[in-house]
Amino acid sequence: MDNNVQRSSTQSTNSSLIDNFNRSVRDLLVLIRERRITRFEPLFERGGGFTYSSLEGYELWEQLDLLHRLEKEGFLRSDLSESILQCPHCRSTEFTVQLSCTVCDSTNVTRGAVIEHLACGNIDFEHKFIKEEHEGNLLVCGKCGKRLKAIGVDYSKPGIFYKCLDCRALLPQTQNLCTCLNCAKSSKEDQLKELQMMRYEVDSERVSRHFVTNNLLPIVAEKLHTENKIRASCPGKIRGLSKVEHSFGLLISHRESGEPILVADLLDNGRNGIDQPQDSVRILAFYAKSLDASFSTKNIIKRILVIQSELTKDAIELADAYGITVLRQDNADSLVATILEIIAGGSSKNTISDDGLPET
Amino acid sequence: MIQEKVDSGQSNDSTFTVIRKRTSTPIAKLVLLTGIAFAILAVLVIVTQTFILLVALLATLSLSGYLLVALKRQKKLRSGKRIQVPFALLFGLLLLPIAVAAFYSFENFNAKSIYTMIVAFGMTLTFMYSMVNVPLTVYHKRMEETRKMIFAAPLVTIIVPAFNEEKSIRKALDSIVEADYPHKEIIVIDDGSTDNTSAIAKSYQDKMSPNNFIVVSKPNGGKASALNYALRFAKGEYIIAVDADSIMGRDAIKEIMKYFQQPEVVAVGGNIKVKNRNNMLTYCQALEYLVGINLFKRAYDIFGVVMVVPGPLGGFRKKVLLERGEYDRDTLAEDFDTTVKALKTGRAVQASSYAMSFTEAPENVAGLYKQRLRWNRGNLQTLMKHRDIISNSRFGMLQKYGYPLVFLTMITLPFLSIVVASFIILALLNGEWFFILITFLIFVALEAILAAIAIVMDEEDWKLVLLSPFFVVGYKHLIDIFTIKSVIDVAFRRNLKWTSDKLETKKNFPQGHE
Ligand SMILES: [Zn+2]
Ligand SMILES: [Zn+2]
Ligand SMILES: [Zn+2]
Repeated sequence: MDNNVQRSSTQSTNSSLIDNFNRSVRDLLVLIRERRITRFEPLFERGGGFTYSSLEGYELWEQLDLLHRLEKEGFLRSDLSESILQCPHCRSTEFTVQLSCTVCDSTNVTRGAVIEHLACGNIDFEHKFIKEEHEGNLLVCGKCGKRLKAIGVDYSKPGIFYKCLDCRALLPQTQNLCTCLNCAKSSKEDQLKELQMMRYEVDSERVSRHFVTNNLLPIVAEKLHTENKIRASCPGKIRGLSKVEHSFGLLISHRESGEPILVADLLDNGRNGIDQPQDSVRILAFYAKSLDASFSTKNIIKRILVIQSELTKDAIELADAYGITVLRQDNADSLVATILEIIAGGSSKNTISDDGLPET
Repeated sequence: MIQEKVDSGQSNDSTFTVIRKRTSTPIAKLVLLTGIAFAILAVLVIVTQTFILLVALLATLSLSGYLLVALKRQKKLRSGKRIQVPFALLFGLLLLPIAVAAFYSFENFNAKSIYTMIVAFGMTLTFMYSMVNVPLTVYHKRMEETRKMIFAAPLVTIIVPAFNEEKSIRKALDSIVEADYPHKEIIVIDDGSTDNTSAIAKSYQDKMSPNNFIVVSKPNGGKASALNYALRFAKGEYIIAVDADSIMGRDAIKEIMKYFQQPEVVAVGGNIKVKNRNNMLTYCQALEYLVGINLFKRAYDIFGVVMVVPGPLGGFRKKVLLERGEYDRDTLAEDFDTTVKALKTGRAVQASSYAMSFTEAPENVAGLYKQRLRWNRGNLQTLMKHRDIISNSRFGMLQKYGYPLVFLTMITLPFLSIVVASFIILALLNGEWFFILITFLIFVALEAILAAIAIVMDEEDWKLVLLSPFFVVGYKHLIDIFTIKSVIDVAFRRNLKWTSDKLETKKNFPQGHE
C-alpha cells in the first residue's frame, strides 16, 4: 500500500524526467571521464545525511537512480556500503525517535542501568538497590533484603533496561517509535524502509570503450549517402598541398567534381589531462589539416567539429574565430539535419576567406 | 528491616527506595545458637557421664567469660601490652583434661572406659577449641555492626600481581573497578606472563582515568617480587593486595579502610569465600572457610592478632611494608610471613568480615592435596622463621594468643584427631556401636550449630549446614591427614621447595575448624 503510493507519485513525474535522465546519464559519463572518477561512495554530511558528494546538485533519490542506471548498463560495479532507514510515507531519513513499550506501545518509558540479584532473580534499576550510608553506599536487594556482595558472584549488571510507567513492565529493549520530521507520520522501527546505499566502482575501461564506439560519424555518412544521395565518405582522405594525406571523420564532396565541400572530425574531448593535448590545440590542428586539404579546391570548405562533451569557453571562442561549426553529438538524425542545413545554407558566420585566414 | 518506599514513579531521579538501618541485628539469633551449643555439650556430659568433660566445659565457659569481662572493662583492647590474658589458663585448659583423664583411667581401668574416655575427650577438646571462641565472636559481631567510618577516604592503591591470568583477570578487574570507594588507584603487575594478561589489563585503562590505572610488565620473579615491584609505583599510603584470580567484594575497600582509621592498625585481612560451589568438595571448603573466618578470625581480630592477612585480599599500611622489608621470598607463604612481620611491630592486625573476596577452590582431592601441602609447608616455614616470638614477651598477644593457637592448630589438633579416629575404629571393632553413634550424632549437632552461627554472621547459604557430618567424619580427616603429611615433610625436610615462581598463595589459613 505504502509502496504503491510512493511508486505512483514517482510515475507522475517520470515522463517529463526521462529525457532529462538520458541527458543526465550522458552527462554523468562525461563527468566520470573528465574528473577521472573511479568510485562513488555515500558520505555523511552534516545537515544532509548520507549523499554521494561527487553528484552534488541532485537529490539523493536522483543520485540513486542515476547510479543504478549506470550500473545496469555496466559502467559501475556495486557493493553494499550503508544501510539507512527511510520514512515509508515520504523519502525522508530524518526522525525524532521515542522509546515505546513492546507490551503496551506506551511511550511513557524510562531507561537506566540495571542490577540483577542472582540469588533471588530480582532485576531492577541500579538506584533502587543503592542504600546510602555514612561512608559511601551499599547495594541492598529490595526483594529479599540481602546485601549484594560482589559483581560476578551474587549480582550482575546486564546493562541498560527500560521500564514502562504505564504497564510497569521492565524490558531489556524497547520498540523505537520514529516520527518523520518531513511528513510527521509515526512508524515503528521495523516498519521503516531500508535504503541500501551502495559503494560503486567505475569500470573505466567500459567507460572509455563507450566513448570510442560512440562515434556517430560513420552512421551520419551512411545516412547522407543513402538517404540524401550525398557523396559522403567516412573516413574521407584528401591529399593536401603538403602532399600529406589527411584523414577526416567525415568528408562530403561535390557530386560531380568530387571537390571537398565539408570536412568534419570527432573531437574526442573530455579527456583533458596532463598527457592529453588541450582542446584548443586540437581545434587548431583540425583547422590546419583542413586548410592544407582545401588547397585542392576553389570552394569554401565547411568545417565541423563534433564534440562529445562541452568545450571550455576559450575553446568555443577559438573555434568560432576560425569558422568552425561545433556540433554536439546527440544523435545521428539531428547531426544529419544540421549538416544538410549547413551545406544548403552556408551560414554567413562560418565563411572563411580565400587566403585561408579567418575574417574578423 | 524496615523498608520505606518513596516512589513518585515518574522519572529515574525521583524514584528511589530508602532502606532504613536494621532495627533487629542477628545478635539475638547468635546468642540463642550459642546457648544451644553449650546445652548440647552439657547433654554430652550427662550421656557419657564423664567427669572430665564437665571440667572441660566449665573451663571453656570460664575462659570465655573471663575474656569477655576483660574486653568489656577495656574496650580499646589491642595487641600491645595493655591486657594480660592468662596464657597459662589457655594452655592449662588443654592440659588439665589430659591430667584428669590419666588419673581417672588409672583408677577405673578397663577397655571400655579407655575408649569412651579417649574418644569423648579428644572430640570434646577439639570442640572446646571452637567453643571458647563462640562467645567472643558473637561479641565481635556486635562490635562490627556498629563500626563507622569517619569518611576521609585517603587514596588506596590496589595491587594485582598477575601471571598468566588471561582467563580470570577480567572478572577480577571488573570487581575492583566496581568496588565502592571514591579514591582508588589500581596497579596491575604482569609478572612475565606469556599470554594476553597484559593486553586485557591495558584495555581497562579506558574505564578509569589513566593516572589511576597502571599496568606494568616485568620479568617473571614470583608473587613476592611482583608485589614489591608494585610498591615502587604505589602513590597511596594504603595498599590492598589482591589475587588476579579472585573477585573483590563491592564493599571490600571501604570496609578495610574503616579499620585503618585507628592508627595502631597496620594490616587488615579480608573474608575469603569459595566462589565455585559445584561439588561436595568445594562446598566443604566453602563451609571450612566460613567457619574458620567466623569462629576464629573474629576472635583473633578482637585481640588484633589476626595471623594471616590472606593473599586474595589484604590491606597494609605502605609505611609498615617498606619499613619491615617488603615481601620476602624465603617462604612459600608470603602472606602469612608478611602478616607475622606486621604483627611484630607490636601493632594490630585485624580482619574484616564485610571485606570479601571470592576465590576458586580446588575441585578435586588431588588439587586440594597440592594446595594444602603448599599452604602447610609455607605456614610451617613461617612459624619456624619467626619462632623467636615464643620467647619474647614484648610481642604481647601475638606471643600469648596468636602464635600458640596457630601452632596448636597446625601441629597438635590434627594428630589428636587421627588418634581419636583410630580409637573410634577400635571401639567399633569392640562392639561399642551405640556409644559411638550417640557421640557421632551429638557432634554432628554441635557442628551444625557452629555452621549455623557462621551462616547467620555472614548471611550465608543455609545449605552449608547439611555438610556438618563431613566435619565430624570425612572431610575433617582428609584435611588432618594433609596437615600431618606436611608436618612430617617439613620435619624430615623431604622434597621441600623453598621458593617457587608460580603465583599461588594460600587462600586462607587453614585454622582448622576442629
Ligand atoms: Zn534479592
Ligand atoms: Zn507498557
Ligand atoms: Zn515521512
